[in-house]
Amino acid sequence: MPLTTDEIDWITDLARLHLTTEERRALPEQLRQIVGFVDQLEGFETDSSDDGDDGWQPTVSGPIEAEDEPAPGLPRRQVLANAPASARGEEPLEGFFVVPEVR
Amino acid sequence: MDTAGSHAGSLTARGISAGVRRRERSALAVTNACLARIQAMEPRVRAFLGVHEEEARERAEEIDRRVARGEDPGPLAGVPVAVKDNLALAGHRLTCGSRILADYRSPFTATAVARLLEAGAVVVGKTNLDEFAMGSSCESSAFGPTRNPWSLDQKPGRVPGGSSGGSAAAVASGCVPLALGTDTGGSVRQPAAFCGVVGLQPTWGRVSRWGLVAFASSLDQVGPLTRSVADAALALAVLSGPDGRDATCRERPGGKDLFPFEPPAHLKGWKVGVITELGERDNAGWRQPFEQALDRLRDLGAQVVGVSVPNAPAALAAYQVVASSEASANLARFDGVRYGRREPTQDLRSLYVESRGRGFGSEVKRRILLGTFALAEGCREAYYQRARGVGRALRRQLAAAFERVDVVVTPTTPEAAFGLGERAQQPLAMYRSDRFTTLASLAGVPAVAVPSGLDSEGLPRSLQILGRGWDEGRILAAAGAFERAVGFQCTPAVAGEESRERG
Repeated sequence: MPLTTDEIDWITDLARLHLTTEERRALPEQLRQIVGFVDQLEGFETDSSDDGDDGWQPTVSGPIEAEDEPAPGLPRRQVLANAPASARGEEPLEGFFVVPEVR
Repeated sequence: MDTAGSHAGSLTARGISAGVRRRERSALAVTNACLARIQAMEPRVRAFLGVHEEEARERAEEIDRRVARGEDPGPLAGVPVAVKDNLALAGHRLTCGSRILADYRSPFTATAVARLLEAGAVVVGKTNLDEFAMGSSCESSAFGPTRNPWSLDQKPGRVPGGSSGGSAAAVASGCVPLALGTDTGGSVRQPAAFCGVVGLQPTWGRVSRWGLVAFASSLDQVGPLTRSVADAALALAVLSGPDGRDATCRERPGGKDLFPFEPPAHLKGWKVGVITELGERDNAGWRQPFEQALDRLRDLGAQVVGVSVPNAPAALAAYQVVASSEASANLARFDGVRYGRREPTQDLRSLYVESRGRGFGSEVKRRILLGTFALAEGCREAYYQRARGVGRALRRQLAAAFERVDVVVTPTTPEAAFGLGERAQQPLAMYRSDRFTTLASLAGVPAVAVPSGLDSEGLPRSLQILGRGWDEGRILAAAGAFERAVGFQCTPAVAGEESRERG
């Protein structure tokens, strides 16, 4: 299934990615080659998933549960420490991640 | 006089720990020797993204104080270790080799790293990697490539492999006896092969992934790179065990009880499987070293038998789809909002597009786009679901093979280390380096890469040994017997270096 230019634009938009000029030149053909390579999977045996199980558990089976015990999370100050400078709001937005408006 | 510390690079983790605990050498002397070695090698190898000199010395002194008080710091007492920079270490940068995380500092420590520290190890620094662990050459790091220690006298030199190229090079160049890497499609084993060291990918679920920046969650593993099989067994014994913060990490036998480790004297009675479907359609570059390795196994008494795994040739393609799909989901979190690089924009959508577009490198973008395509409406069944189905069938076929044999062997890589820059613009040629390693990745079974000798160009070659799920003991036993028979020493010649064999 060769990728069209429209399809490449579509998935680039879905992935929320900006491509550089060089990437815009090279990536489409590279992606077509890779997709062409993985198309070979059509010729191989497949196993369907277990009933109702869409989880990938190669060698692990059975329910995995933990006790419902509350535990402290990261302090807000520590979480905000890695925020981009423009994300750190001043009062009344201190302690929030600030982002540009949705348009 | 403590002369042992001046040769830390040639010592094993086992040897260092035993010496520190018996007070025959100080952890500080070992650490200082390690740091001196790093200083000597780094201008040429560039294995590290950060070296923590002061902290490492303080830590080593603490280990020595504990020993002096009669305490046992643990089975890795005083052992200098390096950690791949996609594993969190509190207070230190966690770049994942990417511009998008260039200034990010982790507020916590990954479980795997914490376990090494609890066992007495001294973390000396973070190592270079392909960006977000996506690559087979360590060339896609935003901070420049690492060079293979076996080719430092060549220009431009050769790749160390990837994505754990920095960790492999740090061990091969004698800087540390043990480094942590991560393996999704071969990223511990392939650089181990290229650098002439041992690389172990445990069973998926053996080692906690908490604190590992996710690439493909159903495939990601933490694994050690070492100079000996025994050190790999020691490292896995320390790393293994359930973690309440990683629900996929289970308690299973064959982890903590791997050490003490003594390989068998021979492999009489062992049946070693060779997959008949591999190699039917490609050139013979890997055949001769692989046949020589099989002869070694026969000399040890093993019987080599053909086993059929019909989906084996599809492993690489299936891996590419599954890994890229999961990566496209895992890397959605890097959006310029809460951490990482943020571009100045006027609206939220542009914030995502520009921050990701300018923060990620081309290989990461290529994989995100492939994964987005494979998961998109109209494509999901034909690509992602099919790839997972092929993987499930592969796992079943491999399990059937293990009914007949004890282990399965393949070359770790189709070729020795290729040249820097040689495949940077050829993604498919780059991916093909993982055609043998992706087998174990998709099946979730353990696999170890062990050096098998040098080729005619003086470059390391490697044998990959795969086992049943949770059967690391068996593959390490086979690897240990093979290692002893081969007698390979990881001593890359470095131009201008004084002989390490001092009187």
